[in-house]
Amino acid sequence: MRSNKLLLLIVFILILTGLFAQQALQDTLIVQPLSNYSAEQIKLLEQIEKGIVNSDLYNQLGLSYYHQGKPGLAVLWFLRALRINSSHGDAKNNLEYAISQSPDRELYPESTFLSELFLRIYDFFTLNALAVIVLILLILTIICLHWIIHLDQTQERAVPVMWLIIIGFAFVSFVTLLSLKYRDFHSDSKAVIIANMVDGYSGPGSEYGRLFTIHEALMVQISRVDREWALITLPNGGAGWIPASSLMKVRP
Amino acid sequence: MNWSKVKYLFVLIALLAVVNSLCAQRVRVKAFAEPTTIGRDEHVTYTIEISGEKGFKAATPDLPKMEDFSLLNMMTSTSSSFSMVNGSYSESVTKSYIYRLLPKRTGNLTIPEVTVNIGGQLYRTQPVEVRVLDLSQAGRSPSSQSRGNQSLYMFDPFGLDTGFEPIGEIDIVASPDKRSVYVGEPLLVTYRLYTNQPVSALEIRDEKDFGGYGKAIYSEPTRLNFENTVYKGQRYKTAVIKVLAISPNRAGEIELPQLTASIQLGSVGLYSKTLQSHSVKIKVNDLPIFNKPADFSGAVGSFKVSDVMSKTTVRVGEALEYKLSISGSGNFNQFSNPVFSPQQDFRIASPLTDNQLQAGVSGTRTITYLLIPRTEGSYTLPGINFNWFDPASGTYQSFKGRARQVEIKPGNVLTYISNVFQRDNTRVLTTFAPAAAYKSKSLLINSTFFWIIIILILLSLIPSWLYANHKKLQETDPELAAQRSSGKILKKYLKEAEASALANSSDFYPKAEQGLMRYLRNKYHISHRFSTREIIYQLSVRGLEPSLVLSLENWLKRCQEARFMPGGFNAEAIQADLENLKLVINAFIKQPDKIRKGVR
Repeated sequence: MRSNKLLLLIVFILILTGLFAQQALQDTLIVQPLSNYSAEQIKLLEQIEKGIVNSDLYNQLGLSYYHQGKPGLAVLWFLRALRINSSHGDAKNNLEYAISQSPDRELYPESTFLSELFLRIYDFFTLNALAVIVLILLILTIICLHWIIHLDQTQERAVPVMWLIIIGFAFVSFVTLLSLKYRDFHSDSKAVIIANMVDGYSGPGSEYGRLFTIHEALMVQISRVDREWALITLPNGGAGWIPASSLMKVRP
Repeated sequence: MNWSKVKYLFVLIALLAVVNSLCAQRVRVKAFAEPTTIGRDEHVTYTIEISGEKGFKAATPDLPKMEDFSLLNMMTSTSSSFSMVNGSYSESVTKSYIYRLLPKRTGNLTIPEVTVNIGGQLYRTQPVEVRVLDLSQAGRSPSSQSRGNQSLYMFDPFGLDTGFEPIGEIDIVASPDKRSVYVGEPLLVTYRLYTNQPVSALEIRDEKDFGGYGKAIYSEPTRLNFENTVYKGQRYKTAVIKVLAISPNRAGEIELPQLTASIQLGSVGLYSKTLQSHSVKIKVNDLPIFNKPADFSGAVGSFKVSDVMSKTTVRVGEALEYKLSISGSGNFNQFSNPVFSPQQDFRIASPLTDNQLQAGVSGTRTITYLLIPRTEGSYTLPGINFNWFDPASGTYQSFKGRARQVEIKPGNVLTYISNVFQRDNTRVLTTFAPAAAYKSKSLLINSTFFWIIIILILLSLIPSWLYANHKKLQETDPELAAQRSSGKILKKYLKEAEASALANSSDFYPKAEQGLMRYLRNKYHISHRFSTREIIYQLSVRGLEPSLVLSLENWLKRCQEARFMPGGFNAEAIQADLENLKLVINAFIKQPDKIRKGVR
């Protein structure tokens, strides 16, 4: 009888989550296209200067940059949109399109089906969604604990303990996911090349040996910064020093 | 003759008859080789002879693996003879299994023992020695001399395969179902074996290609199913070896693939021959330019095309399935899927192709296009156009899918989740359409509210745990529970009195009396207007134990004494009175609920 009530509660929570998701979908609807990218870009930047944090806004800014022939800044803003809302389908689509058009697209490794599936699931859960799920699972875990605490010694404990294990496992999993996501959110290492073309060297200076040439819009990881130079890791695993001014960090 | 002698004679006759009968049923197995001395390129005839009374069942002996000989062929013969023993006729049968063996080396070679199964009983032959000499030493034996330059396959010393002439009587023929086709128009080439010889096995060794076409195996029988036919005016047996589907990809004359097969001839398959199909050429015509559609798909054949839309009402993010079905015969492997024209409000995934085809030239291809709506509303989706060249009519045909009206409703979480698992390869930049203003969206995890809720949820465990513990204690140790409760009550109602008792102050008694009365009024819902005496009366009429009421009365009396009687206050007695007070309260705590909730 009690487990039925718990199931009803879970169903109710799922329905609530569904309603929230529907709202989220409606928020990202696409409206009619415009052509004056430069003027619109100024308006978008004004909103960003006011401190508005919105993935749609970032995505549109990225689009405006892309249409103006600035793929580096476009990729940067697509990534910033995904940073605050990893399930933003349009930003993800636009980022993938920009990558597919980039001269360095061969540097991105081919992902296997499983890794892509995992990434998609990981991206599907935004920080806010994960926070809500963790909260719900915490409530459910605490309810299970209350249930167990208030059980008579004569009553069977298997059912509440089973629920506690299931919900507790889900809770721990989602807390881990939330932690990973939050760490990613605060990660300061992700960056995008904004210079048209840049050479990578074996040391922090152009007097070192040249290792590679990379182009605008390439996503890189910053490993170290030494004054004017940054040690970066390319998507294919290669590493080298480039001028720090030729890249921009995804975290503003 | 006395009777006992006659009896012995009968017994003797009966015994003789039984022994005779047993002897008659005996089976003999004999193995021998002829000749026992041969040349290196000659064969030896090894015979296993089984003889016995008519009716014995012998399985064909299996020759063991021989290192020194290779088996050329095997034949059998049966003979029977009649005999009369003691006035009764019997028929004996001799079965001979004759093996022709070719030596692999010179020297004294041994044909090993052979096991023969006769009626479930195993018999073993003796090993047979054969001397093999080099030809230069042995000279040609009469049999080899008579053979002359004849092929080894045609040699038959026993005359059992009379009339066996494999050469010229067996052929592989390639027959295309069309001699003139268009570029891309598939044709079937059937490779048939024609023979008037017994064929036991066939193995395709090679398939020689000449270019200018794509090919696929249409069918390849696992066994030869012979049928009678007349070929070049003669009666033959024929069987299909293989059928290839050929799709020419250039105009001109093309030569069809040539098949090479190894064929085992003879009833036991010990002769082999390699045959190749004859060269066959066909004419390939270019597709006509007249009326050729600009978006010609490259499909050539006879097709029936239909389309269907899975639903007309879906939610945002839910996939709409548009299926285009192409069935018939044609070059399915040489044309690509038609493209669904891009739609602004729909994401179109790469089409999924389901082929139910035979050799890629006949059957049905179903192409499924997944259209994922981005926004709600009412839309008109165009159908797909597909065109092909029909060789039968020599004209270009076209299918135009009809436009369909679809209703898109707002999405829900399930459609969203299903999209997460869907791999979408379409790469189109989304539309640039900024809104006038955006709302800032903060992270829940950074809000104080979120963490307060988490802390409250966690803190809720503490009172719950305390309550559960108290409840358990009440069940397991009511005495201890009452004592703990009395402590709380004292804290709640008699806090000041307890402090006075600790200070050995005479204030203890009025405060204790006041506190105790307050406790009892609250517990038993007794009106505040009642005096102490009336309260005691109320308690006694509510069914409380008389001893408890008495102890309360005594304690109150003690209070009165300490307060009002001269010399009634004794500082040393305060602690004892405090303990008494606790005992009284404990006793009240232990009282059942029904008394506590008594009539007001």
